[in-house]
Amino acid sequence: MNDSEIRERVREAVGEAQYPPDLPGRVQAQLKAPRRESAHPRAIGLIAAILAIAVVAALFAPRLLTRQTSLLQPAASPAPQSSEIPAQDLAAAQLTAVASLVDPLHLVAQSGSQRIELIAAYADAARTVLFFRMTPDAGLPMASIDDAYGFLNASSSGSRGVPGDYVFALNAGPRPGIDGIAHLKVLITGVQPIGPGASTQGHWTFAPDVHVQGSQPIGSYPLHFALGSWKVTLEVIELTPSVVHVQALIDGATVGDVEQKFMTLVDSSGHEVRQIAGGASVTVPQAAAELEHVQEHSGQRPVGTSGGRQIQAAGGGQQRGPRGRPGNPRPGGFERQGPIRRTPAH
Amino acid sequence: MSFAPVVVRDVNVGDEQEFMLLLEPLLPTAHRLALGLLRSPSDAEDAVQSALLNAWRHFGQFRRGSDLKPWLLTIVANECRRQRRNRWWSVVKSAGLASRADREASAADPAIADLRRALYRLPHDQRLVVMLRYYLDLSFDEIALTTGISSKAAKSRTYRALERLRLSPEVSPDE
Repeated sequence: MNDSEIRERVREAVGEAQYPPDLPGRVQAQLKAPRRESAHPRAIGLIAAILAIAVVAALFAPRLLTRQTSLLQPAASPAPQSSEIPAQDLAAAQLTAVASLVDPLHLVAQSGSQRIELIAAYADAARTVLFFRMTPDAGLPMASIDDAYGFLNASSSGSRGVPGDYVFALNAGPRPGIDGIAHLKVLITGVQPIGPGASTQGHWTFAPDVHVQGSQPIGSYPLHFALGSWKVTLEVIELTPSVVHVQALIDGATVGDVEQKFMTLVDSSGHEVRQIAGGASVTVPQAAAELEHVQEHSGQRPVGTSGGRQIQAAGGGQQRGPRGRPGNPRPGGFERQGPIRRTPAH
Repeated sequence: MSFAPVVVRDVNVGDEQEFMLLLEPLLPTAHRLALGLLRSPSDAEDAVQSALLNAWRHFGQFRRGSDLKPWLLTIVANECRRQRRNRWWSVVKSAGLASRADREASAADPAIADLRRALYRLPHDQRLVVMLRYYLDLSFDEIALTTGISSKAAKSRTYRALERLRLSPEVSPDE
């Protein structure tokens, strides 16, 4: 294949770029007001953002965890042994409290001189976490994950465990079969060192079967409310064994409004719940031609608390409270407590 | 796509209008690169705007007498990499839209859909050289300037990427 043929195929694959004629004007306006760089509105009449927040239960009380996971774990799921997974790796993945739910694996792939072992995996409705052991220690593997239904398209993050071990966390859960197991295909095409240094290219593939832990929805959805000029549809608040996962559709937000951390979860005592990941994309109303999605993952799980939970976002705040105590959630146990409480914008 | 050098000799670094006059002819190229790297038109626009803002802030460090284009393309490429990396807040494409686009592409030519998927699974460095070479039509010398590697390394990286894409190149004797 010659250069012209390759060029033609690449252009067909990427598509032709439609240069937006107003881009120079927008850039110039941005240069004049550089502090407003993140707040530029898109030329879309209606923008809706889907926000997903996952909160890890770093402070999760073990006794409550035991009770909770007994509710969440599928009956058919065997209790895997995770004694071979270093505690530092589990901590890096924010999974220390649910170590027994991590599936140990011993899958090895070699490309060139780089050996990668997939030593363990964990999955629930909000996260897919893979534990890799690198020999030699060349850095963090850049992985893409497919389940039986296709590519899992979500933001991801990586962290380091014991020397040579890395955790790759995708902010989306795989879709399991009826047996509660997801059949994943993991492809690694590069290894990125932490810090300066050249990346290592290669081709490593794994096909792990991973138990997908169940989730417990809090309340019934969707819930609609207004937040300033935004119309918010709270689509999901669910507890997985490891996180609290919140997803909302926000109608009227701009990308600038949501591209920074703008939403927090606070427990009943007013403490912010640590967020571990978040993402957002813009989507388009069905009547229009184009939409985007905003998706976010962050957090930490406020377990052992009772009473209300607040979600605060730029422009105001909203308080919701479960009727039942955490650890004993039940369908419909999530209700509006009086009128919406607005808090000043930050 | 032409890559005529834009050499900057004397610019008032505090004048955004002058800065924009210099860079505006390069914006279509910058936008094209961002689209090639990020796939999403809106992400590409965001990346170009952020890159221009970075370029504006660091324009004082630009070496006068150098070519502006590789400098700008480097900043755009870095911004695109930053956008795709581990951001606390990251923009992901709508699964529904993606699948629709993929379905349409698959209906037209499954091989092109496969190539598209393969392109966006390439590591950033390899995707960058493929886009510079085959989407922006740059020479290997120009790619080398943009990526900060030697011309030989640029060729080698490009061919490795093509092998991964199963687009076996014909290597001419002069290369």
